[in-house]
Amino acid sequence: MLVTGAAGMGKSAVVQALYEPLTARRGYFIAGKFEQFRRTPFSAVVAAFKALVTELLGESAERLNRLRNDLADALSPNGRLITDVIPQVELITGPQPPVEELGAAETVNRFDAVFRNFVRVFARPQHPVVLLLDDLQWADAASLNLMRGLLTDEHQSLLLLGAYRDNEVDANHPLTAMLARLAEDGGTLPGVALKPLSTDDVWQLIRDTTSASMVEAAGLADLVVRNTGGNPLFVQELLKTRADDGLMRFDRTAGKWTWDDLAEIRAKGFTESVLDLMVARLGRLDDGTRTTLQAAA
Amino acid sequence: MAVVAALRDTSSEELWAQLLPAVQDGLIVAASERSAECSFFHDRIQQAAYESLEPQQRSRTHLAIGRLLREAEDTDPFEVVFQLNQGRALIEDPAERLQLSERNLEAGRKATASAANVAAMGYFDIGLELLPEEPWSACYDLTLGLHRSAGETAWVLADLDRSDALVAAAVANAETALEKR
Ligand SMILES: Nc1ncnc2c1ncn2[C@@H]1O[C@H](COP(=O)(O)OP(=O)(O)O)[C@@H](O)[C@H]1O
Ligand SMILES: [Mg+2]
Repeated sequence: MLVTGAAGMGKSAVVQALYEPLTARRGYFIAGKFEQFRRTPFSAVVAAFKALVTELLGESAERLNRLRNDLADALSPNGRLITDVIPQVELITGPQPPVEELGAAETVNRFDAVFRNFVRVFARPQHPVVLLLDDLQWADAASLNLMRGLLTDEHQSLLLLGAYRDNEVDANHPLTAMLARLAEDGGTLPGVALKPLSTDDVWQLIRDTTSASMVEAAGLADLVVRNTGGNPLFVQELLKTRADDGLMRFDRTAGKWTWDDLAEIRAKGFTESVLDLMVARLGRLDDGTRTTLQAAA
Repeated sequence: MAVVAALRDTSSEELWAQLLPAVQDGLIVAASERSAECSFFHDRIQQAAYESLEPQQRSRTHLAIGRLLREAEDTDPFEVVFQLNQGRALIEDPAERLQLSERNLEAGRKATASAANVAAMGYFDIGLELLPEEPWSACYDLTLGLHRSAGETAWVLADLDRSDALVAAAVANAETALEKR
């Protein structure tokens, strides 16, 4: 299943909320996210399986033994291909011998097959795997290829959840090509496109957070929705920034947030985007804090 | 956090003191105070912070991170190469450039083994770019390795002209009959 929507629309929030209901009975929920400023092959896939291995290491010795045998059966003599990409797997399998050198095209096919076998070991009817890959708009071509391979493999109990910013994926994007090839192979992926918050939703949200009266909240909700288009992140950050600006204040005696009149907030004008808000908020930090955040970014 | 502390040349106490306002402001989230990792509250915040750096400063930071990670144990080799590559324009020492070229060859070969051919081509291209002048006489093995691997990968990626050009260059400069095959 694919969840789509622009940045801040709530994709990550909604897919993560599936964790409980999907794992309530049995199975594994593993997740990884592709990074916007760092492209290393398979990063999200590696993160997800690294977490799975860590979880499995806590299981009984008997189960681990069975897993070690299953992995050996499924991967031998090419286990090294997996441990080179996901080194944590070695903690279960032990060190793996080097693989035979093949020609370039055979190497591609071999890797695809070995990875499919690897996933089959975990994703079984008695313990299905939910693999969440977030921010596919930043995925590398190899990860997308791998995804396609998993989606067309019928011999595993895997639910693949993907989320991406559809407005940042154009016709030339590798994800578009991958989805087109998947469709050619007869694979389909149901999609869920997230809708913006309505004025009513935002009204409710403002009432819940500020304890404002229905009328006060209505005026602000209307203004906020016109500025943000109902994008949840934008709504949230706009309200925070206006509180920071001192235009909304917490009244301790009344125990609620107040704003003198809407005109003041309206006079601030519309903000173009969440990014503009964030740039402004960073600008208010002192140099040391900002430089540290830049280094972390 | 350890990398950021080293980069900023500060103790972890000082680092946390600097980060606290950003945590309070909801810009970053930490599992606990002094936790070894924290994350940006949203990718847009990371984007704002990253893009607020001048390109030159950005490259310098990547290079510094790459040099730190290069010395550290247990780091993902792809991560080291990525960081150094982002700052490669600022590397002046010929030996360091050569070493990075080798790292790109290695990373590319590793990527090829796991069918990550687009990524591999990127590493080979940067490896070739980092070669010194007169590469065939200055560092024959590395130059040959890059041409061969890049040539094969271009072929897998169906970029046949590029593949032919790389293989032709390798053949023209190869020293032995065996290598000319
Ligand atoms: N339906 C919603 N109502 C209120 N807040 C929401 C809703 N959906 C998302 N949010 C909040 O909006 C912010 C952005 O959501 P996120 O899932 O990170 O967006 P995306 O992954 O699409 O960029 C988060 O703080 C999240 O908690
Ligand atoms: Mg997200």
